[in-house]
Amino acid sequence: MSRLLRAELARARARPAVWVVAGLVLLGVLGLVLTAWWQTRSPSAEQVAAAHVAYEEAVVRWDETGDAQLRDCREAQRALPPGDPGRFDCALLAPVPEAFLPLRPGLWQLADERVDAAGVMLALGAFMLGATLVGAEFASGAIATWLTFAPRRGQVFATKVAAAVLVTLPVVAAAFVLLAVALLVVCQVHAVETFSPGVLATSWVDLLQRAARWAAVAVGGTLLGAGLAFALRHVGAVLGVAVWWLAAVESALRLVLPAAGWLPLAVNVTAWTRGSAEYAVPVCRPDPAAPGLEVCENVWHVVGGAQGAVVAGSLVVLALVLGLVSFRWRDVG
Amino acid sequence: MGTSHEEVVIGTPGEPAVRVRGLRKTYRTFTLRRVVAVDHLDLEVPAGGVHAFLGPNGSGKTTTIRMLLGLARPDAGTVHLFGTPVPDRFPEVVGRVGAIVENPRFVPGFSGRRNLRLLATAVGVPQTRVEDVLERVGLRERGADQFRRYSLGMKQRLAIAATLLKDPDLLVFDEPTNGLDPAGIRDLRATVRALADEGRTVLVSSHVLAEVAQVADTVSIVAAGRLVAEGTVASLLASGRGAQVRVGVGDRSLAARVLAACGWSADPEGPDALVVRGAPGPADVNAALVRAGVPVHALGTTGGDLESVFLELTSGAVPASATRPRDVA
Ligand SMILES: Nc1ncnc2c1ncn2[C@@H]1O[C@H](COP(=O)(O)OP(=O)(O)OP(=O)(O)O)[C@@H](O)[C@H]1O
Ligand SMILES: [Mg+2]
Repeated sequence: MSRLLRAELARARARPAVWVVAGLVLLGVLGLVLTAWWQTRSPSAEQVAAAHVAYEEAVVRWDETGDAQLRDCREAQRALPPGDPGRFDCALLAPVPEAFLPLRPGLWQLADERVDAAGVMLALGAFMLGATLVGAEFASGAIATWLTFAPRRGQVFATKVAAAVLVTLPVVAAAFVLLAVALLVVCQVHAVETFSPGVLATSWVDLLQRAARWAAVAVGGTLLGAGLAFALRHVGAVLGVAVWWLAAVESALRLVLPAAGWLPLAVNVTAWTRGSAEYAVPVCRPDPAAPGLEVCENVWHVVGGAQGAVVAGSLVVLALVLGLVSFRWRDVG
Repeated sequence: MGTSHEEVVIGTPGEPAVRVRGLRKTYRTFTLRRVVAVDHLDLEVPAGGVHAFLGPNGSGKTTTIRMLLGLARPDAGTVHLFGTPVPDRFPEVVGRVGAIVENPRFVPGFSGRRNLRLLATAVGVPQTRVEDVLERVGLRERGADQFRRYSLGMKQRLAIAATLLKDPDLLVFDEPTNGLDPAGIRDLRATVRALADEGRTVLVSSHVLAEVAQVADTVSIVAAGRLVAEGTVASLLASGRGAQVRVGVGDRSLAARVLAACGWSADPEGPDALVVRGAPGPADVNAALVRAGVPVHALGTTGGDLESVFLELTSGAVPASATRPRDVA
């Protein structure tokens, strides 16, 4: 087993397609970093000038109406019980110059906005890795030669799937490390806040957990791609099925059969990574006011994280079982 | 699945390297029609020596070989390699078997050397053996080139090198002469002979008898998925229906009538010759024609060689049972 796994890993490492997919994922992450760079740029001279003009105008208005605003504010605040989240210092109403410059997000917000996008790229990349690592072997026919050396098909299946996962993990790690380090550099260079006390420690933990859950999604993507490639024996066929699934289940099904809204991977992966997701099912009943017509309203169904994991995981297991059965019993070569 | 022999079940002495009984394999076409690729095939390859597995295109050679190696599942019948049933217990004997099925197939983007190294890793053979087998097939210089850039002959040689990695007792080469030039075919024959002389069993399939007849100790001939003959090369020759006489004559239609009257068949060949079957010999043909006043200006024999026996056996003209010299082996 370990001999076979070693051979599979050596084969994967030497495969250009693996490096191309990994490179594309990392390029995508760099694209995300680029948008962060753009969002945190120092304001241009024009923006500063415009902000100055706007600030001057606000000061003029504040001089006229400031006292009245403060009075109203304090009255309203007094009415709130102590500790109410709506309480704040009314002095903050006075205009300050920075408020007129474009808002520049800090590290946490930048990362929070990008971890999901990076996760989606990783999942797609991992799916491609799984599909190509297995499918190419069938396309070239090298699998037949391989089986004359390693005839236990169950073992060959297991080692190929394991190798695909082991190849995916460093790509996932590299992508998230690249994202974190590059965002930190962007924040340092642009002097926006990084680990400020304004962001709670639990928020950072949440973010890390979400990244870890995306890593699990990426592994699921690899398994799905590998399982389908074993079943269909062709990378093109695997991509065909993926496109069909996107068009039929992820898009059309929602419109045709809203009650099946629990099936699409988008819903389940969101539920798994975010803790919950929702889908709407319109419920119609006869309109009492207008006979013959119906009134419809959307009923929102919540998919929990565990349910999302079970549904998405079942699809992965299904693909693996199909792949294993097909590989064990069908003729090769 | 090691390469050492002590961990495999070694058959009893005198056990054939390959024993196939009642093997049958059908395929379904897209139109759901059944194609019988192999039909109740019995095959026996004695241990040691070169065994030629012959048959015209589409006669089921590759399909049979795939079943020998557990790549395809038979519909019926049994396969034993060194007495071990295949495919169920193939892993036990895989270390003793090296095979090329149809075309040599490797990872196209990897060098020949890298392909062999991966296979060596998979079976736990030391990497130094890769250089040995590359050297043996004369590919060491080109070992670093991508497999996809190899010529067909080089691909065949790499495939042979791969089969030798395990130092096997049984080698199965499916059409190894495909794409080889005459010098390549001669080299291959020498390789096959040398492998057999080392005490291995070599099963070579081909649709061209001449390519392997010189090195084959025993022969099996299949047609349409069935065994039509098996035995030694000499016994096959003996089973042919004798020589044909080729006679050049001026008046072919008259000559044909004369020969038919003697009970022999005569078919035109070329502009002015007839091929006569069924006659005892050229002298008898000549005598008959001269007696009838037909001038003969050329006389000779054709056929009676392995090639014509092969054609005769596989053309379907002869029922399998009529010529099967099975007991000779
Ligand atoms: N995968 C397959 N699907 C359907 N039919 C097949 C398949 N493989 C082989 N056949 C059919 O089985 C028959 C035997 O084919 P096979 O390849 O075994 O012949 P062969 O003796 O190796 O021929 P060749 O000398 O051309 O290599 C042919 O009729 C072929 O069309
Ligand atoms: Mg063939």
